[in-house]
Amino acid sequence: MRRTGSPDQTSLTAGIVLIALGTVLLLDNAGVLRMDFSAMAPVAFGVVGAILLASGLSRGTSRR
Amino acid sequence: MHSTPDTPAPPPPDSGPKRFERSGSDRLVGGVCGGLATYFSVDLTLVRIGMVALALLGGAGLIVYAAALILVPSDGTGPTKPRSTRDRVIAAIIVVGLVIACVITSGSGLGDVLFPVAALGVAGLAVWWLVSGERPTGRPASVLRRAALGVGLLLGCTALAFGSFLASGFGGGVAVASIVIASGAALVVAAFVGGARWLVLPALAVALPLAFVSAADIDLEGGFGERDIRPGTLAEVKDGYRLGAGELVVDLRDVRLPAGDRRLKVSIGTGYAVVLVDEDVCVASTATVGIGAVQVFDRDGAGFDVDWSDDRRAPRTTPRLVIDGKVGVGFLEVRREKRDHRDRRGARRERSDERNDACATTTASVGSGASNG
Repeated sequence: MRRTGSPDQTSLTAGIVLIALGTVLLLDNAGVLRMDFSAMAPVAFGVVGAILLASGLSRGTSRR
Repeated sequence: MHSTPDTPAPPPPDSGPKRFERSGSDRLVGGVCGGLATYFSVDLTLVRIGMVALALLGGAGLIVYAAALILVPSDGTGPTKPRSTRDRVIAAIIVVGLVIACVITSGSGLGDVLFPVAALGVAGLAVWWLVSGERPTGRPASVLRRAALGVGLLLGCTALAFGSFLASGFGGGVAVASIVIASGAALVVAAFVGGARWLVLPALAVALPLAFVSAADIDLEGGFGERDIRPGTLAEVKDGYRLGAGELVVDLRDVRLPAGDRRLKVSIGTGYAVVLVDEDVCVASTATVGIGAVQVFDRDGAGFDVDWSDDRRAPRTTPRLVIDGKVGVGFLEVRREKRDHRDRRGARRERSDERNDACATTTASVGSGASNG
C-alpha cells in the first residue's frame, strides 16, 4: 500500500463505524448490553449507510 | 453529338463478412435490438416487440439481451459520453428482471440451471462494479474476468456470513465481535497508507450476521433437524427441551400431570416448536421471540422482539403447565389435542377445542409485536 497525503475517507469511516459496531456487539454478547431488533436495526443500518455515504462522497471529491 | 460511353460504377470497397454489432445510434438501452435490425435488415420496431415478448415469456429475452450486452461489441457510433447513471439503471433493471425470471421459471429444468447461473454472473458484475468502480464494459474477456472476480467475492462473503452466523449461534459471539473490531482497526490503519476498501465487504459479511444473531438471540446449541419427544410418564418429562434449528415436537398428552404446577422450558434457535397438551391441563406461558410468533391455543403474538406473557391460574385440583419459551427466529405453538385415536367410524378425531378452558382466570399480555387474544 502506498503512503498518501490524506487518509482514504472510505476506509477510515468504515473502520471507525466497524469498531463501534464491533464494540456494541461485544458488549451485547458479553451480557453488558441487551440489544434487541428495535435497537440493533438502526445501528446496523447506520453503519452501512455511513460507509455508503463516505464512499459516495469520496468518489464525488475525486471526480472534482 | 459526342457521347461518352457508360462506365460501370466502381464496386463498393470490400468490408469483409457481415458482423453483428450493437448499434450506437439506434439504441434505447444497449443497442442490441438496433444491431439485430441492421444485421437482418428488418424493421427495428419489430425486433423490439419481439424482444419484449421474449422477455415476458419466461425471461428468455432478458437473458439474450444481457448476454449480447456483455459479449457483442458496439459499432462505435453514437454518443461516446459516459453515462454512468444510465448504465447503473440498466444494470439494476437487468438484475431485477433476471431475479423475476428465476422466480417465474423456477419449476422448469431450464430455470433451475440457466437462470441462477446467469443471475449469479450479473450479480458478480454488479458487485465488482460497486467494489472496484470498474464498469462492466469493454472487451468480453475483461467483462468475464470482472464477473468472475465479483462472483468469487460474492461467494467468499456468503461463506464468511454463513460462518459468522454459525459461530455466533453456537456461542462464539465474543470472538466474532473481536474479529469485527480487529477488521475495523485494520481499516483505520490502512486508511493512512492508501486504504483497503476491499476489506469493507468481508468485514460487513462477518458483522451483520452477528448483529442479526445477537438481536434475535439465536441459540443454535441443541442440534439440528426434526425431534419428536413423547414421554410416557411424568418421570420421563425433562425440565426443558432445546433444539438449534428445525422442528421440535413435545407431546405431553400421554403424561398424567398431577394437580399443581409443572414448569417446562422450550428453546429453539430457528424453526418451529410445538407443545401438545391434554384437555384437562391449564397452561400458563411466557416467551421471548426475536422474529416470529407465539400461539397458545387461541391467543397469539407475532412480530419483532415479541415478549409474550399469558398468566393463567388453575383450580386447586387442576394441573398447571408453566411454559417458558425462547425462540430466536421461528414459531412456538401450544396446542390442545385429544389423544390420537379413532372414533366408531374409523375417522381420526379432530383437534379439540382450542381454548384454555382448564384455567380459572386469564391475564394475557404481549410486550411488543402484533397480538390477538
